[in-house]
Amino acid sequence: MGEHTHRHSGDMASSLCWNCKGTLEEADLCGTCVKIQPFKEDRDYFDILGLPHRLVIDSGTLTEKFHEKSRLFHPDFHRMEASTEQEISLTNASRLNQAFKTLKDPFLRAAYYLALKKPGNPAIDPKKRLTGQDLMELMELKEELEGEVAVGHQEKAFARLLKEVRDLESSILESMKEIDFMESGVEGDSAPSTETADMLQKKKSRLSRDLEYRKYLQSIRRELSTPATVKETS
Amino acid sequence: MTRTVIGIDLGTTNSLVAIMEDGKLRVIPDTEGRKLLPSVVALSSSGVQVGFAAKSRLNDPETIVVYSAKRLMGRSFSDVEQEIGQLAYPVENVDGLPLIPDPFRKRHLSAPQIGAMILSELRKRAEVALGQTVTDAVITVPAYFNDAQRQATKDAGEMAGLNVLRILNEPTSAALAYGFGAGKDGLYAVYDLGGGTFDFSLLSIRRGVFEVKATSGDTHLGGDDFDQAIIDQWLGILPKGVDQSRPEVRDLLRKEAEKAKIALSQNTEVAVSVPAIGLETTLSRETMNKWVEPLVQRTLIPVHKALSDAGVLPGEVDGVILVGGATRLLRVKEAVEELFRRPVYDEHDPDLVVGEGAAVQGDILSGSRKDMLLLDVTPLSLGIETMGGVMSSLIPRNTTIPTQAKELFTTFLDGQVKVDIHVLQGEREMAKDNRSLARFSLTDITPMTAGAARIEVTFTIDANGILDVRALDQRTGRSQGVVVHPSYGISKDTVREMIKESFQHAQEDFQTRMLIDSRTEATTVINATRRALEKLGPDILPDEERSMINKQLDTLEKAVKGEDAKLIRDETSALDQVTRPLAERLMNTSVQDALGGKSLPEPEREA
Ligand SMILES: Nc1ncnc2c1ncn2[C@@H]1O[C@H](COP(=O)(O)OP(=O)(O)OP(=O)(O)O)[C@@H](O)[C@H]1O
Ligand SMILES: [Mg+2]
Repeated sequence: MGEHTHRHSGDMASSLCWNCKGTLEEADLCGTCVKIQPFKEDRDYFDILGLPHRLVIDSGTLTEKFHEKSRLFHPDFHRMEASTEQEISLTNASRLNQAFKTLKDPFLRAAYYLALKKPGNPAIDPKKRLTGQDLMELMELKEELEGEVAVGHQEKAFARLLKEVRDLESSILESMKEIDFMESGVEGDSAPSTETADMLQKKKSRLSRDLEYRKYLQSIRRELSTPATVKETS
Repeated sequence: MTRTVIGIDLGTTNSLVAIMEDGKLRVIPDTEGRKLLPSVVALSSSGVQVGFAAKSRLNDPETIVVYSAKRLMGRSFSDVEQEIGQLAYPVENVDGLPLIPDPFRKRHLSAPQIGAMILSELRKRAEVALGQTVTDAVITVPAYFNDAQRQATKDAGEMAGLNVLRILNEPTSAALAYGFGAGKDGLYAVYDLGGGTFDFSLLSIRRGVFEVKATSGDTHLGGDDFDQAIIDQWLGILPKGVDQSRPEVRDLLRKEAEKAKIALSQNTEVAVSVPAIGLETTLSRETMNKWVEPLVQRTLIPVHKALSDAGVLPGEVDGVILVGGATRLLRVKEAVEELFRRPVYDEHDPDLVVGEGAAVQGDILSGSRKDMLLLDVTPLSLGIETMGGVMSSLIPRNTTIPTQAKELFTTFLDGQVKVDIHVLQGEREMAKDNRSLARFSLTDITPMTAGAARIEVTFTIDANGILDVRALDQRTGRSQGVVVHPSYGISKDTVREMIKESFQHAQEDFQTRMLIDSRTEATTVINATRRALEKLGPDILPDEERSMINKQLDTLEKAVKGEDAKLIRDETSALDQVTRPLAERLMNTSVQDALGGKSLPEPEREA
């Protein structure tokens, strides 16, 4: 690796350019020597793409930002440079690609957002997202669908499952909007009322539960469709 | 100043080299104006030939003619065992690798070495055209090539003395060549059916950014298989006495099948006649379409897979780009149009467009343009083998590259100093059903209690789609030793050996060429001088001078029969010395046309 030593994020010196040691005006590119800068550990996917921390993102804006940053970091534009820059370009472009992939999908984005250690984000224990009742419900649904498939009502079973998924997804997208709205209000206020904070917390817990529930529905969908594809290929 | 980066399409049947020159694409032809180079290498006692010269020796029993070597690239012997039967040249199993024996030079050649010979030829073409040495290159591969096949192609480039800046996917390359300037932004599909491979890619183009959404394909499906489908039918009508297993019979059938197939792109029916094996029949387009229909349908499987991976319906695609010689088959084009019902782009020559795109990418890499950017994906999922022989996926297919995945490893036993990681590529659940890429060993782990070690392994797929693995001991922050044992293909050491060897051979080849060149030159001079001597009387050429010249002519003729290129050149200039006074006299008496052939001819260029 390069000679430069890795510094801890948060260290004051880390806002200096790795190459010319000048102070960085912007995080991605040194204004003095025009070298790309490695992403600091504490930059999350929103920071990397230069987007505000929001659950709802316009897909056009997201793509635009992704392309803009790709033009900065993609290895193709650094192929003739020194190995340190090629290394930075490779690592940054990789993280950028991951960031885009995560934020592009609203459900991955919501899960990522909730996992960020934002002040006010409730620490949600992943194991407790689904209640016992949720799990019972899912089991029942699965058994019913399997029963329908067993008597040849494949299409009917799939249609029902698909409806479940769709309904859940639109309710997830709705809560994402609501949370964004409430949080932009909180940011403006210096001291949010405990009532608002409480509500926000509840909404986030609910969103977290819904995302988990959706994952289960999708795994049921995969399981239901597997035997069918096996039949197809044999 | 920026360096010229050449773009090379290393095809199964044909290859070519292209460059960007003053913003214009140019495919570099050979001295006879031919743009394509047959991907064929001929091995015989008289030397190694590449391209057209090699192809012309296809039926020479004294020569081993190697074609379609791309099908062997980065594969194990057992991978290709089935199709070796269809090849008319020998392939042997040497330590699990499919190698081609070269008995004339007592060696075995790997697919990358054959590829290197083709690449060297193209490199020479470019050097002659540009009048300077060329080292930087972009080489294209089918998008569906796995890590081993990509690595093998890169190795081939290095063996040819090239600095391979990028391994580029063929369909993406074609899209780059189409360029699609302003106003053409949208979602495009590339359907690429070549000689031996099929690729399908979906990409969105937006203000010069080419973003691949999904890619899929079949590395063993192409025009060759269409020929085979026709051959299979003809075998049924061959007269009883013909031995169908003889390579010559297969060669004849293959040539005739391809000829008929190509003719049917123009005509609705062709007459087929191969008297040597008693094949007399006619073939209609309709019949051929029926025979190849299963293959056409097979191409649609990857098409649907990519569409569903990208979550796109056929009707949402703005246009389909047709690439590869086999898309000239009318039924193929028709099937694509039926599925998409969208405009089909085929105005760029489907044989050249991939190589042209490689030149565009070369231009981007050389730093001379920033208006275009390619964001490609990895075609296959990458994972590691976990407990119970299950593959655990780390990087799913169609992930934009470059990409990295980190995974934490630890020890299972007290004092364990080594951890093995088995890396796989493929979509199946069980490790054994996927392609094994390599086994990586984390070595020299400090002995500790079980589970105490914390080794962070980073799997990187670079912009070439090639894997790199690095490990870090999290407790010490030091990098951890990784030893790679590739499952197929060739180890780094062997590649280095081969590069060295190929330079030696290049040296040998060079000497052979020098010998041939100096012989040609000497013979031309001898003939011209003899012709002149016949015409000249004693008034201009005194007898003693004539006998001196004759003596040197004899000496030179003797040298030409030998193997010493330097001696031939020395005796040629000695002849030049003794004829010089005569030449000068002739100049003065203005009868120099009598010695018209005297001036040293340009050494003949090897085709
Ligand atoms: N008019 C035609 N009709 C049908 N097939 C054709 C026609 N012209 C060429 N082909 C076929 O196209 C194939 C060669 O295509 P191409 O040169 O694009 O392949 P390649 O680049 O060498 O292979 P690959 O891309 O698979 O490595 C051959 O199978 C040839 O028979
Ligand atoms: Mg091709």
